[in-house]
Amino acid sequence: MRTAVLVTLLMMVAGPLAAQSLAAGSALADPVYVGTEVRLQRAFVHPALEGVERAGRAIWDPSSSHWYAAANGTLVQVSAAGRLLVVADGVQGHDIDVRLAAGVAVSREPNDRIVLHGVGPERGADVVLLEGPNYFHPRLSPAGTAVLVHESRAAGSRIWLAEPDTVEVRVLCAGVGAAWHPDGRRVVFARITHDSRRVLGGGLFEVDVATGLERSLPTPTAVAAVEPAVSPDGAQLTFVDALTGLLMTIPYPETGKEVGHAR
Amino acid sequence: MHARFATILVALGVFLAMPALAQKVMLNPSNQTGNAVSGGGNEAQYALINANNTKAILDGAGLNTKVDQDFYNAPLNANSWGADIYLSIHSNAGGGHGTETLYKTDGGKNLSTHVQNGLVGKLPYGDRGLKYRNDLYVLNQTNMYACLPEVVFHDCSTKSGVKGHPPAESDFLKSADGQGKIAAGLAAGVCTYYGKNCEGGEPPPAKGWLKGVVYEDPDLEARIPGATVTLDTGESAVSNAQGAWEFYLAPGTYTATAIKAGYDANSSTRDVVAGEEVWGSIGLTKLTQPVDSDGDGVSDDQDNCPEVANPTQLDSDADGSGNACDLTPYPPEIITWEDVHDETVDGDVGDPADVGAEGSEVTLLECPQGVATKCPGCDCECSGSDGCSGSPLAAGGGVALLLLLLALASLWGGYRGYQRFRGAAG
Repeated sequence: MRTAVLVTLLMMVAGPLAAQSLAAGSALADPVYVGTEVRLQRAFVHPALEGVERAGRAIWDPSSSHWYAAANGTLVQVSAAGRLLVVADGVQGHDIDVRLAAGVAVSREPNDRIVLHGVGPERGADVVLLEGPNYFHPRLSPAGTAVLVHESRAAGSRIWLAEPDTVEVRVLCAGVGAAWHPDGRRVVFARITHDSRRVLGGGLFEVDVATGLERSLPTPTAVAAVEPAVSPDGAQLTFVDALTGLLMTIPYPETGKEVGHAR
Repeated sequence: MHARFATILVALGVFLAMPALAQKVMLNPSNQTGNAVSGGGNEAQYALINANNTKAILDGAGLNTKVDQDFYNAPLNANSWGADIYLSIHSNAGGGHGTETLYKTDGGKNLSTHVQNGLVGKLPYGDRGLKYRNDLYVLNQTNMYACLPEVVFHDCSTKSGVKGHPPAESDFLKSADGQGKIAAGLAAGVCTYYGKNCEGGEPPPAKGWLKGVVYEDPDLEARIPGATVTLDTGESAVSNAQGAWEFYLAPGTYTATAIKAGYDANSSTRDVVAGEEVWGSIGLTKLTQPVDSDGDGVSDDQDNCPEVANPTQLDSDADGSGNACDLTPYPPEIITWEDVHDETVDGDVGDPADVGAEGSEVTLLECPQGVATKCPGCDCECSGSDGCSGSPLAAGGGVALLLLLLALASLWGGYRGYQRFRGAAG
């Protein structure tokens, strides 16, 4: 407890490790670690995809160290030489995630289905994980064995967890902007307050996938922290301050207050 | 110039003749349950009614509309869905009167102009115009053109209309008549933005697009033009220079099969939805079955004459090119030192009658420097490292000198023998 207070105080005095201003007036972000570098995935249009019909925004797969995107109804890997190599077909949606090492990709399809695709030479059969107009932004775990899905919902945003191997799909927690911790056992996410026009406040949390135990992650005061991302070594936590549009990085708070169980 | 103009006209005609896709419209009613409406209810409650009524009109006009009331996630859901436009439907508060629409980008301003005009045309209240805002979450987070109409002031409980004697704005917001007019105004704005007449009963599209490209698997950019793409209905198309193909079809499930010489055929099966486009790009792999172009029973990749039938694959000079298609089918003949001194006319190479015999090729190999040999194409004795340089006279002089030395040695030997004979006799 004392350590948690100390970390919080240190951050209040010293501020975050780094702060980077996003595009003026824009909070479009979805930060992601590409190695040690933080990229803003949601605004990133890969140059190799320019001029390609029906090309989506590129996403980074840490398991293969490549960018991927939907294009022409397929899922392509952007090769080191900038070529677009098809790793799965029948992918219509642009909201995707890939773990090539695990042979899986996931997408939100235009028919409002969250679909798990087999990728690579085998290209296994598709599996529908969830179906409905408000499920979006599926995110594969580091090992590709589980999928986070966001649910847009007037009564309160939720985060779902789908584990295809066990055919289990369940609500993991209430919150927004979820991302996997690199250990694959935890998920970090945000909870916000708003006035229906602006975000007024935001805090970060982590939830243990197995137990549902939730813990708050202390961030600097006077910050509305949203859209968290954890560095590949688990040492750093990056997030967006919704009040200022600043992208901030702090040491990952390994100590934090338990706030209850998600289930 | 006339030709270019004609081309443009034709292209324009084709464009105008193409059935339009259904635009994707995300309606995001206010989530603010804490904003009380004068006389009862809250902003979120009536914003949702207005959004649902607007959706009914737009869907009826053939647009593809979703309603999402989640404040934080609705813009992200719209981005994920690939919405074309985004309307965040609100009502105002703070003591004012009338209708205004908020925007951030230039594209959003254009959309706002249509929406504002649509609302002002239907509602009996004042026009507060368009307002630029860069601090609104939904306008910052959406990838598509977006606007935020504040339809009326929900905290206004006095009659403030400028057109006749309308009810107070809060009462208007709560009434079925008011809700109908708000939805009609919002829908009119969206429809004029797209150049559609939603009130004219424009029928929604009855068909959808099935599109794709044919590519050399797995390289999406290695397009295959000239491939024949055939549907299971029998309809077919040929992929263009960019490998692209398309069909405009009634809703249903279709399987498209692409074939092209030299490639394995492949198929994709897709569900076509009216007013939407679905992609069924097809990757082809080069044929795995062996090709035997000349039909001689030997596949092209193994055939030493793939375009000339030669079942025996005879290759006399073992150069990989069969005799049947080899301009020089026989091996070169090699002349050795022994051949040069072959004095027998026996049909092989070496003697003057043999060398260069018709039908044979003569190549001089391992010709020792300074050694005379017979060269093809010349009638001379020659020497040198290449076997054909040097002077015939020089070569002949060497032999003459050798004979002279032998003769001198013989004479010297005879003279010494005569001296020993004279000595013994004396």
